[in-house]
Amino acid sequence: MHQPGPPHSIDTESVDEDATLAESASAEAESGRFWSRAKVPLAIFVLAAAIYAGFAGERLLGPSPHTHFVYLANTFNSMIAAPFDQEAAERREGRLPFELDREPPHRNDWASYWELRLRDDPKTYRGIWMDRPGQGRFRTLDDRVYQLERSQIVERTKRSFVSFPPAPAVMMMPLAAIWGYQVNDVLLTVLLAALNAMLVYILLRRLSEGGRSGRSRRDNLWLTVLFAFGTAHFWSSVLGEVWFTALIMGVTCTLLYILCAIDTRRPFLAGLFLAIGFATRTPLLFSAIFFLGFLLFPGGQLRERRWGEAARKLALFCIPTVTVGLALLWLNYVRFDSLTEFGHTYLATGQLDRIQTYGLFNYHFLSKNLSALLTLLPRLQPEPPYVVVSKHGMSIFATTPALFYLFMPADRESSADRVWWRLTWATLAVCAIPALFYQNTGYAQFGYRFILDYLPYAIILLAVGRHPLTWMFKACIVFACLVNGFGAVTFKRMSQFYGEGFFL
Amino acid sequence: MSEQPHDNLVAAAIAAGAGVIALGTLGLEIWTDRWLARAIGWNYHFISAPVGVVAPVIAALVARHDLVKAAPGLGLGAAYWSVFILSL
Repeated sequence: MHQPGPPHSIDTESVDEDATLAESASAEAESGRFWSRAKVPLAIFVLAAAIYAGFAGERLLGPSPHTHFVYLANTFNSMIAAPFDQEAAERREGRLPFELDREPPHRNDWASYWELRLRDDPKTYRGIWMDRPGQGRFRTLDDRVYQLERSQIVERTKRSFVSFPPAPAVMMMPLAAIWGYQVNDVLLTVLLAALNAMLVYILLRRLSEGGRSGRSRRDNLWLTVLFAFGTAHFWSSVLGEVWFTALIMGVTCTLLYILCAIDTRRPFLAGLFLAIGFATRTPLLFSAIFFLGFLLFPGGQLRERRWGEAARKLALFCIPTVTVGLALLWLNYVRFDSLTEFGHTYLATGQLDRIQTYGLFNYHFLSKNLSALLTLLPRLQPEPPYVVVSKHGMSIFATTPALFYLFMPADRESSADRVWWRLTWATLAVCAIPALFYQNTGYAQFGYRFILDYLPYAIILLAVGRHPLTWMFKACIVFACLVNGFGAVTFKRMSQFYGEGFFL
Repeated sequence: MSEQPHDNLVAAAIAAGAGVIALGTLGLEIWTDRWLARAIGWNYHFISAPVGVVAPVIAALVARHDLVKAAPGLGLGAAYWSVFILSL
């Protein structure tokens, strides 16, 4: 087991000149003892799974109410099976490509548009009503606006899709092949979350052994606890549901991506996990700079040689990312006649006013999103239930005060340290900024859930920041676990603790 | 997969076989601390991954009709990906 000791005790001769992490002696010595190194991570997985499962409780007994990915997985399966299977062919009859096999069970976050046939007009019109459903201005997928009267319409069909990026649905295809629409997304999310806890520990151990964080095993376990139970990761892990499954799986992809991207060790796998990541949560695309940073600054210095090797690694990295990226663009085009439209514009058949007025990303949303990220606090009151949390969540510093230590790092003494610090902050920033202009704060949530897109980078910064884990740091971690544990118990269970208003 | 029991058995055997090959290959790589792809001049890790994908996918297709026959393929697939992640 690793015990790397003080921050700068790693023998610098053991660091490859093009690497920022040392291949530590302990790692080499133990390479033949795979299971001895796997014991702690596996124990973390089992323990985290048990805790998440305990907090998920009765939800584990069946699918959540929002199984959009399961619907999409069944649709993918039917599309593949249709040429060979009569039953599947019947399910697809009259459906557009990637249109859902089944009508959605409710109206929450399904993308849909109307297909109209008009009297004395052979054309088919696909689009959304801009004023009120049924008549008035009708905007087609190619952005033309028509004035239509109810009497002109002879036939109308609602076409429904899933607008969330499809990687989780692809992962669920084998499960959907077994259980159809009864795939238990809660259990799947719990297992992915436990996997995340394990991967964070493996990542922190890698940083320690490589000499970048100087953290002991005990420190790494504290930081793992912070990540797993002291952040939005905790309460997001116990719900299932499309939004949280995507966020948790996005974290899994990010952690796998980071492990492969460090020092460009495994460029193809890094590209593959990044591709699956941005096919799960689109903002993860921007984290590509983490790999590119290591490519341009091998060993912490600007690259001045071995450009051929860099080009080869970049090509390997690009094979999966470009392939998956093109597939996503094609998927958008086939469904919505636009390469860049995932379908969020067509949520609630395009009837969301803020999207119609401002689009999906706009400066207009910045102020509200900044508040949700940084300043929003619960209301404290003298009468029951004593605490009321806005469904827009609360500040990341209220749910996870240990994040204040991001701004209190120790001095960085080597170029490799400086590259790690700057590159990780840059990656965190590029992943965080798009969400600040997005049309949704993350509603409904207990804390700011979009932090999960860049939480792994925040944990890396806490580790490589080398701030000692003082009793105050640990107290912050314990406090965060209690706060997020409260969220894991009450969110979507005890509505008395939650209010609809933004500022309560 | 076909509704015929013997077809399911064949597919289940393919899934389990793929799982054994994937897990065995990965185990060999970890045991010897050498990446097998180097033998054919490729400096890439985890050459067994595509076979590791095949095992659970075929097993899942079998599981639609017979969960018991699919169990070895599913178990070996799960074991493969666990070891894969732990060896990253």
